[in-house]
Amino acid sequence: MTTSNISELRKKYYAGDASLAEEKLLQELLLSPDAPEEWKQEGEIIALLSTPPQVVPPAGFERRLLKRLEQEPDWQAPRSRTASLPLFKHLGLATAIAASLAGIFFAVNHYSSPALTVYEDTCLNAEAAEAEVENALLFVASALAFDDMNDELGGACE
Amino acid sequence: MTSKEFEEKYVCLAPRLYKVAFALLQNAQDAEDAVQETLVKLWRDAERVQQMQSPEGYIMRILRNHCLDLMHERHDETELLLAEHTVAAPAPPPELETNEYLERIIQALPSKIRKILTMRHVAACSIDEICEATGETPSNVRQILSRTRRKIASQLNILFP
Repeated sequence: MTTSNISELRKKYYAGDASLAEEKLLQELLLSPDAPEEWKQEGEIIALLSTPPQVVPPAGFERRLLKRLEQEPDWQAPRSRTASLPLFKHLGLATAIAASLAGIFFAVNHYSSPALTVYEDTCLNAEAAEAEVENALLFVASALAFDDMNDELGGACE
Repeated sequence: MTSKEFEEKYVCLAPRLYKVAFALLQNAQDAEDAVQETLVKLWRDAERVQQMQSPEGYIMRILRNHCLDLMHERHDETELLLAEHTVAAPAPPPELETNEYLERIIQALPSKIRKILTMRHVAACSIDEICEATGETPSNVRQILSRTRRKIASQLNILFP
């Protein structure tokens, strides 16, 4: 920050046009060790203007403050520790997501291909498979009362 | 956060908050109420405040907003004699320190001008916030700040641009 920049800030400050950030910057620059000596007093004045008055709170101030806080519903009862710890919050959320995903995975696997799990190992060889298919078709034919089903299937069904 | 932790961490800030509230409100009871309400609000919001990197700015903002609301409610309708106002401080006695003399100068300011100066310098209020609390226009507030700063500087023998 050059001297001309500081001069520009001072002009804005005394014109009432400086922003809060510029006023703070000006105070810092005027009080910096590099600032010209004649500006230091000005920096101190600006700093003093920003200092709250040296007033002391009245007697019983803190007691009344605590009494007011005690009126809050959850002041006496300690708040849930888990609610105040972000780790527990995140763990709970992660567990819920994992459980949901596991449930979806199980449902998809269970309901999408039930026939595979029921029938896949019922036949030990080709003949047994053929026989079982024939029996199944006969059962369907009898259930639907297709009398001519046997003719179409040929003698194997006799 | 437990009430014990809250007490240790935030209730100890109360005297400092009181000074700022008093500077703005110029009334001990109002300043005390403002600090109480600020800390109650902070307690209700303690979980969020705890996660902030520097909660002091947030706390100060709660206090300042509360004070500004109060100031706005009790809007001082006193006419502001902008063109006429003078800083009627006596010449600096040699035994006075700069800060004591400055204090005298500020105390001699008309109350509304003192309020605007305090709002800007102590509570870091924006021009808009000052306007809202005092009912002045932005250009008036800027002009008041400009004139008051120049007068203070001239009383303290500071050469201003």
